[in-house]
Amino acid sequence: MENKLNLKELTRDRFIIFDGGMGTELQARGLKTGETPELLNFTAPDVIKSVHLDYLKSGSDVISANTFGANRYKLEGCGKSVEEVILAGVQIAKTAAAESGRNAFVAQDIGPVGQLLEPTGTLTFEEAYDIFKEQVVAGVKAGSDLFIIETMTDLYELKAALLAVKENSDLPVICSMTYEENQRTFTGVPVEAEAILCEALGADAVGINCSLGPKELMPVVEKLCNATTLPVIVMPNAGLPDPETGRFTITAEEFAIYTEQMIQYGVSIFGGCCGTTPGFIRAVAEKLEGKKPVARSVKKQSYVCSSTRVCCVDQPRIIGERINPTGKKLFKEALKNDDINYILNQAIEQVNAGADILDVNVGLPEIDEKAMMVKVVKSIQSVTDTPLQIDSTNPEVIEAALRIYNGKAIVNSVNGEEESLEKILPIVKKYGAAVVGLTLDNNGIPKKAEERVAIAKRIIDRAEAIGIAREDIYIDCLTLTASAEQEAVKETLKAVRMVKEQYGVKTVLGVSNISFGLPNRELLNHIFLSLALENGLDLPIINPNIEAMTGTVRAFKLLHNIDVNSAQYIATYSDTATQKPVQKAENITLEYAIDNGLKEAAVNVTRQLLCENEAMDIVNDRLIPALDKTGTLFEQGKIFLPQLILSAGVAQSCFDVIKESLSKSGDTPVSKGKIVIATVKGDIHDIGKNIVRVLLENYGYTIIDLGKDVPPEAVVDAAEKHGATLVGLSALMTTTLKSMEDTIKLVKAKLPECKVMVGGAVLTADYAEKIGADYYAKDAKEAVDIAKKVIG
Amino acid sequence: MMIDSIDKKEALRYLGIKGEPDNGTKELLDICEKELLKSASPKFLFRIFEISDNRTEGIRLENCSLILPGKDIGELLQGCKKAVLMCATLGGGADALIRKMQITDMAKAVITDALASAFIEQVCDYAEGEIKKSAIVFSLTDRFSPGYGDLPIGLQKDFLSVLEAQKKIGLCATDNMLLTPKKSVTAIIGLSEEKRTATHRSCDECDLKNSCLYRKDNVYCGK
Repeated sequence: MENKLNLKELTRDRFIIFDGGMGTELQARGLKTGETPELLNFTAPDVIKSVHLDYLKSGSDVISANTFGANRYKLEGCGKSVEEVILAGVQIAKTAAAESGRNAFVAQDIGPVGQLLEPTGTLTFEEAYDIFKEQVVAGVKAGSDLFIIETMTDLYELKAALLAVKENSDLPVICSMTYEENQRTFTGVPVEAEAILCEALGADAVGINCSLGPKELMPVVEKLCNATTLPVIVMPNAGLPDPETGRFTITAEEFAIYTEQMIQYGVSIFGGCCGTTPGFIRAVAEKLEGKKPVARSVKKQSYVCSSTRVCCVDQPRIIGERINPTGKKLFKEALKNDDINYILNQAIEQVNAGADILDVNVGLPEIDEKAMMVKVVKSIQSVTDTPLQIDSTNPEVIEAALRIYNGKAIVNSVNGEEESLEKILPIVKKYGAAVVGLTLDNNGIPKKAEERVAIAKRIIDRAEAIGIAREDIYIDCLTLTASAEQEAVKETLKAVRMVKEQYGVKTVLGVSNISFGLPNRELLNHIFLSLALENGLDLPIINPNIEAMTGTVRAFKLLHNIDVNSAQYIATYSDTATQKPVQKAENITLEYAIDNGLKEAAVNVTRQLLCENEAMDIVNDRLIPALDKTGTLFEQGKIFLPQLILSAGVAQSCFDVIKESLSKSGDTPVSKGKIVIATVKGDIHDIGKNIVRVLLENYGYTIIDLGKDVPPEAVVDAAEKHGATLVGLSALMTTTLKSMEDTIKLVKAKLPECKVMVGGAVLTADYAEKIGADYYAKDAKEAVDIAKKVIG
Repeated sequence: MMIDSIDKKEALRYLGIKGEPDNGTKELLDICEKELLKSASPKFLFRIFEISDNRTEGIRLENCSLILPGKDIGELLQGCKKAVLMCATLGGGADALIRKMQITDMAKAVITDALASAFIEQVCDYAEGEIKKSAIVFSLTDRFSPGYGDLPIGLQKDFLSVLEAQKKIGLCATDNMLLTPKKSVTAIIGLSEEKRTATHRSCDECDLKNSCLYRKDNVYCGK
């Protein structure tokens, strides 16, 4: 083998063989369950070396150092530093490689941290990155030849590790994830998403290891080989473990036979995981003897993805345009109040309406766009798996968003201006995103299609020059308003057709702009949309909540034989005819709707009431008394939590209607005052706090919800920034009461005027008093009573 | 493992609903049950260890580095030759579902949360059944979890690592020893050769003894 490892070149002509299981070999040599295997690098280096040597003798070209769990979380309190453990592990492996006389390579093995990343866990992406960075830096220093990041189940964690390698070393890196029988990882990652991310971020090989035997992994292996141009590595377990004994079930010979079958799909790197021994590797080496890897022809596609959903732009895909404050008073208000829930609602609504991708724009002069973008992207990804398009002109904002984005995103946008190309394209390349190129430059938007196509060409050339693939370049030929530039409409359509035909790139258009300033906008929008689709538009940016727009795309797909057998169309529309007639609003009062959880009816009644009444009168005379009534029934034990919340939800939608109407008439939305709420640092159980939020919002308070696991400083900062006079804290666990106490202390020290109410399963009134809280709320209803007392 | 319906009576109890629920709640329970069954991927894991030593400073297990300290676990395992370490989870999908519902429909979120709590107990019961099959001659003690009584919650991390819970079922603990995914359980069960009578754990050892709603009504949370 050559000295510098180029996996892609090397695997053109020959297979590479990794080693087999380390953990199981060590247990066979007496390691106790629960002991830290990496400490054997110090207590039993000879044992480790003997395992390596056995693999090398059996035919391994690459051995993995005993560093799988050598991270600061797993090694905590063991008495050895990450650097020491990695240095020792790599050195033992290198000594073994040298002794074996083979020209073998040493891979530094990197496994999962041992804690789950957000949103399921509490470890942040940034913290995970730092943990991996420490390992990578130590590995480079120790002289590792390459890295293998393996047994990953979360794409986000894999991204943190891969980024840490790419930013802190020049060594080759292999990534491998672990799949269950449903062909997804524990966190739901499909193998295509692994392939897309690894290719985007520049991994040298991608693969699958652990959890199942080679036979069970076969279908996942086939899928992976069809989804990537990178060399593919497979390291299965020795079959499935026997449920009684925990022992693995297949023989080395069977293992090798299955391995051989994987050659046909294009696998070029083989090894073994749990339960495999040097005997297995020897059998594999014998089977591969004299054979060559099969070249794959993988169709290049335009992909974007989140960690659990892949969107292939091989047909028109809808980009939802609603997450954007431009011209939206309520959205701006939400951004100023850090009201992430408002934005999340917009996200979910669009996804339910049929958006395939969501555009995310949070640019507003008064706020920190970068911090907000990061927060919004993370939050949206915690409630939907729809891929995102990062919409900003600020390179710093784009980079911050791409860095923490889980998957492969689209950047919206670059344009033909030198500054834009120079600053944004390298970021797109680094994070492996797709990019929208706007056909405008310093001279504005050209009138003629040919001129726009020329700008497109310039953007494509520049993007390709720095290594962005053609399939990741999407061109936006720009929609001009028909009312102002009527003759430009057909130029846009022509340009779409031309860039598509001449350069084979995907096309994007913001559609709604066409009708600006004209009546019956919906009509123009959806006709223009169908014209654009016919001219080759792939990614319409639209409001998917408008049925005519989403419907146009669905109909187009049916008529173009993309929606085969009209399956999607029928699934969407077959129920429409049989839908129940909406309950007539005139028979229903607002109070009845709230009592009975009738959201739609309540919204209709509110709309009618708004025609004849002042908004605040509806709130004070109708909504709040109705809520008070349910609150009292709840206190009396006549209704229970679900009904209380159901009524609150109905009232909430009435408030939304009122706010919308107020913002349209230019009035400020109703607010009785601001309350900061948070689940304290260390605690992740926040459903109770969220119930409190809904009820408080119902009574007209503006809630600054800081979420869960919130440090004391953040609570104080938010209360100060928003001028809140009341802070609500929740904690579920005894273990986190201490941080509740710390938070109260800090609030009292910094903002002596601010009142604090607390709640949570383990709290009592006495304890609340003891830790310095002003109020104890035993449930959400009491929190409302306290807010009334403090704020009015 | 096939659990195709969730114990709604138990979920209602978690929701604080006494008596027959109203029709709206019933309907929501059905809808949420379906969604939860679709989103959750229940998994469990257990290992049976010989108890090598049951001294005052803690229980030692054969060929295992974990020590179980405290008086309470000693009492639980009194007379047991073996102990089972088990863990179970509904997976990240259940968390994600509840998270999403909290944005779109809080009432559904609250009901699904209660259903999930009932569901994870059912998974544990199922796991107990499997444990019984693996150890026919024994009878089982109650499930006892890190954080109960004087058994430190700080054990969580090592407990999970003994079971290789992250690798095998995707279960971890946070720095504060909370389990993630949230709807998860870790527990110790003693295997005894004698028949044991089920005992209610005393409320004295419970963190919630002062605020417990069941206690106010003179009922126990344990079955």
